[in-house]
Amino acid sequence: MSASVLSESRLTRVLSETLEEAAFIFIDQGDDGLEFTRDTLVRAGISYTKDNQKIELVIVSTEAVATELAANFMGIEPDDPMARQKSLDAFAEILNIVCGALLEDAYGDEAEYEMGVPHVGILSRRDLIEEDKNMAVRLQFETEEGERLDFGFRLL
Amino acid sequence: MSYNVLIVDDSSVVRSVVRKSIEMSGIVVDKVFEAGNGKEALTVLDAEWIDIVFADLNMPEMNGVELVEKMSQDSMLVSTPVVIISSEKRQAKIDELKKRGIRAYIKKPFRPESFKDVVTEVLGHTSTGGSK
Repeated sequence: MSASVLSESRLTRVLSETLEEAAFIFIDQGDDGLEFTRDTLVRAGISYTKDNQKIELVIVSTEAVATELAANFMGIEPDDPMARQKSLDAFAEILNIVCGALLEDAYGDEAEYEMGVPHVGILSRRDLIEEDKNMAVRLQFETEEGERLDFGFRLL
Repeated sequence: MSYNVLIVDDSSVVRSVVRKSIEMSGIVVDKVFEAGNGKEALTVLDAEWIDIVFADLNMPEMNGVELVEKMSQDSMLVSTPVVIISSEKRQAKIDELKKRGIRAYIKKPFRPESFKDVVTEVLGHTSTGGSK
């Protein structure tokens, strides 16, 4: 039950709506074969527990997207040094907001669950391939700037 | 009337956004203090006069619930209003927090107007001018 409500359509809708509302970032379903640019990869994860099942939501994209998120959050230009400085923090925060929205959408606001604290870091290309094997669902999106953004979850 | 505000969040980007939202809301602020968790917040609260605290829920070291509990046990801080800002939307959690003494709850993502509404509700009035 806890993971089965995380349908691809729900994940897509909640992620798209939250990125638009919270950070003015617009995404579309990514074309098959869309690769990450050569930019540094950033990964954020947040876990929650529902009905004794622990699930980690994971978002992966490039430092450029994380920097744009930080800039949009703070109302500054993406080339402002502050935007890059806060990029990881912003990437973690957007996942935190997405998680809250997804849990409400999937389980309602009366449900019992425990949300964790988001973790963020740089992801190596090798780790990206390794992690892909453990993901229950990984969806691929493309931002307006042509950057790839992945979102999905794994069972812990 | 202007206010001293304390923003408590482990995310520096959220602290920046909250600070900006407060500025944009029209609330007249005297000083804004920041803390990265509940423990740091208590240090600020010991040292400074704070009119209202905006705190995250999930933080390392000391979370928002623990901060509210500590404040409620301290006669100097028990009357300082705490507003929780969180992405958690569970009504049971919000009700529980209100029982523990929080004065209001702002759900993320939020708009700057939310802050003016909350300050009006919690502190009784806001001002767009004047001094302390």
